[in-house]
Amino acid sequence: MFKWIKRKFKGGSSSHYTNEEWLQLLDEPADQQALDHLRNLLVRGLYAFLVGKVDQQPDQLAEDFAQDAILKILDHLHTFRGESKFTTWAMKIAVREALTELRRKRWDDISINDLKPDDNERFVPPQMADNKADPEQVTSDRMLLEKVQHIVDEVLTEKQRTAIRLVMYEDLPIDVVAEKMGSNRNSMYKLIYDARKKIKGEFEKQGLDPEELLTKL
Amino acid sequence: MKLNKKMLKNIVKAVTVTHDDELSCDECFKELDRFVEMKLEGKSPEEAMPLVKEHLKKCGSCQEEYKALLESLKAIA
Repeated sequence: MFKWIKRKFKGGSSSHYTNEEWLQLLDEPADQQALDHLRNLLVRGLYAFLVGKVDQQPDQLAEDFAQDAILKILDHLHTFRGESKFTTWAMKIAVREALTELRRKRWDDISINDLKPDDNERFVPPQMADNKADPEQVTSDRMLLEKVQHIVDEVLTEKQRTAIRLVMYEDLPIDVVAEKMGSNRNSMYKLIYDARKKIKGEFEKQGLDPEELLTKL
Repeated sequence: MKLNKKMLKNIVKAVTVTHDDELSCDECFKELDRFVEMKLEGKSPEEAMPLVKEHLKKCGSCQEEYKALLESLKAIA
């Protein structure tokens, strides 16, 4: 398969044109030969990681994703800052487009309402379940748990709690969570970052040492 | 939302890696092409661009894209 794809997409190396030439050739109306060369590079690059990631037709998927990526690349030519090779920048866009779409498809059928936490799994620190444990230690651990629960309940917004649960407990990718919550990836990262900072601030106020707390979990 | 073991642990872990200066996904994405090229040239982008390194450690989606980009660029080199 790999030999076939190399034959089919014999587009030469990524340094076929200089950055300036790429920008000139792809500026409207785009040069067809440059477009074909770019498409071939993207297909070869996308195929390289898709082949180990998807079960069916990585060659067709690579073609489809490359086609979509080219539209985005042409649309964003003005944002290329020239700090890397043009082909590296273009491949970066194609890879993000492809992986975002694959993640979206993977989680497409799942509604965030289906992902409710099981309260029966509520955490009991080992010391609290151990009858022989030092009673003072048990009390101290229970207080820590209650403090963290209180911080989460009182300091975070409902939206932050939902986002944290989906990312940190359900292990959903951040871009999938963003889409399901009607947001975008960057805003979702910021929402969770603000939540982390709020929790960290409360830890500091209450004298909780997260590193020490981790050793008990 | 009642905390369970996994959530509590992940929240506390998240606190340990929370800093004032963090890159967002978009800011990381802007730097990623330069970061990857340095990696492919055998340089140490982790030292030169520590904020990108930190973001990649925290963000699974960006990390996945970084690894795929490395693989793709090796294939077209």
